[in-house]
Amino acid sequence: MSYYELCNTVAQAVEKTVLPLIGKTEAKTGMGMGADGTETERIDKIAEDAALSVLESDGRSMRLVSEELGEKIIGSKPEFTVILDPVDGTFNAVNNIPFFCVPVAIGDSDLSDTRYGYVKNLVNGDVYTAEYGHGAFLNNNMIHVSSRSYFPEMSFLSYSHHPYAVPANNHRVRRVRIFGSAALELCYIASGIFDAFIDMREMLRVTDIAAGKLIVEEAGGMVTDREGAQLETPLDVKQRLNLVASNGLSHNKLLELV
Amino acid sequence: MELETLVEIGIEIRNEISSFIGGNKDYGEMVTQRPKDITRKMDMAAEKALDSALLERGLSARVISEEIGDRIVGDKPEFMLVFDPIDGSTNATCGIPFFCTSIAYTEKTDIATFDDITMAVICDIQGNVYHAKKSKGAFLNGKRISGSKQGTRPKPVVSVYSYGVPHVPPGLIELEKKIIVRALGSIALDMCFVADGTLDGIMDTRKLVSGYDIMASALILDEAGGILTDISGKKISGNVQVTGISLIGTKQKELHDIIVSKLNA
Repeated sequence: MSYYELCNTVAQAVEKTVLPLIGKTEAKTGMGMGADGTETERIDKIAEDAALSVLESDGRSMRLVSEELGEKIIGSKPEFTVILDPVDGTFNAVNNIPFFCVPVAIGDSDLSDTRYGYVKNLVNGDVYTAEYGHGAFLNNNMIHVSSRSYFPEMSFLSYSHHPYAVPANNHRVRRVRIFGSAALELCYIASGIFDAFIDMREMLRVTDIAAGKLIVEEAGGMVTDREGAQLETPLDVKQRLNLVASNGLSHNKLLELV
Repeated sequence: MELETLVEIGIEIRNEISSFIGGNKDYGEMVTQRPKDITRKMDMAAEKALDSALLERGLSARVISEEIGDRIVGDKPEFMLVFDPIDGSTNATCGIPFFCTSIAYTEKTDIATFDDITMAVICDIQGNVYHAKKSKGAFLNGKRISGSKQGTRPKPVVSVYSYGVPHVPPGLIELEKKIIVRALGSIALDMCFVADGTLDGIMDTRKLVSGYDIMASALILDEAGGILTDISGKKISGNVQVTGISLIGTKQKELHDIIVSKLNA
């Protein structure tokens, strides 16, 4: 099974279990604390269980890094690591706000060595993929980041905190949107419909961004931390990150903002 | 016109927009190439759908539209419709499934103020239908909207529009610590989400909204028990052409008061 098939099978299994729960009260029944240190909603647990059973039946040995269970070794000699957020945008999903997705990435031991990224938008079924060195795709069509670099023409996706730079700079840009699903928002940078994504809340986990980061980079964009450094971090759901992603043309100017 | 007819017409137009978009295989790509053409085509398809929906039913109306201004459909207008074919057109052209079509109805044909609007329908691209009739309540997919949603939230979720203009209220940064911020890209649909409790609030500090943008959603929010004011806390009024509107919409007085006081600190 190719990486695409593996990720797609995982996403389909998640989709099947999650869609009947969207916007339902029972989706947000608390299930205790997840490995990432936040409350597990029922929808996350159900989605993760569905994904896990797909991976366990694959036959290959692999390591799974996932938001709720933390880490799990399948088989005896892992060939690769699957980095999964069973539902990215859980808050939206349980509240019926139509922005949530399943991001799946294939990597090794560090966020920087992701070799395959896959994000499925569970609202409209769009699938974003990227393989290291081979470009990024939306529904099998190659995508590329935008070419805008002049702030008054740019559309931002931005989350504030530390040090509240974004609302203070809102007047400088054409458009600001906040959808509440980082993995999907990174794909919107990759496909060129938004120009910059900024999240300074120190809340992002590797599971939220591994797939989207590779998709942005393979679409010609840049992803760094707030100092402009490459994001290098072990694949551990307890890590918390800030992130600036852009089409690359405006990256230094963006770093000045934050 | 009967409420049921208005709702039917709203659904017909939404379906027309939906099939128009569906007819273009790769609508992610369209955006980057010729966004303005696409927007105009989509809007025109919706305008045409409204005209045929009225004429097929033997109805005559004055239509005030965001896209093509003021027109008379049929021979002798019996009522006026304030029409926004696509609110959230950037989302629509980008393939982001968050936009709606919005129609407000008044029996008057000379002038329409917020108070004159007696019926409203908003259909989103996901298939949801919001409608309201003055003094008769607001409805989502035929079911009366009442009270607030179950479950608790760590902080209120508020859609915030404050970008692209020189003045950002200083209190906004302080306020954003107390809320979960969203900005979904369709003011009218955001207001419906406040009406049904999906969002706790919406605020737009840019003073760029016009009467026709929100006349339908204002009635829906009002009939759902919501509160709609400008950022100084004053009720929004005026006629369809009024521009420069800022807004705060909520269903909770306490949250409304907090937003007003922070923005005016």
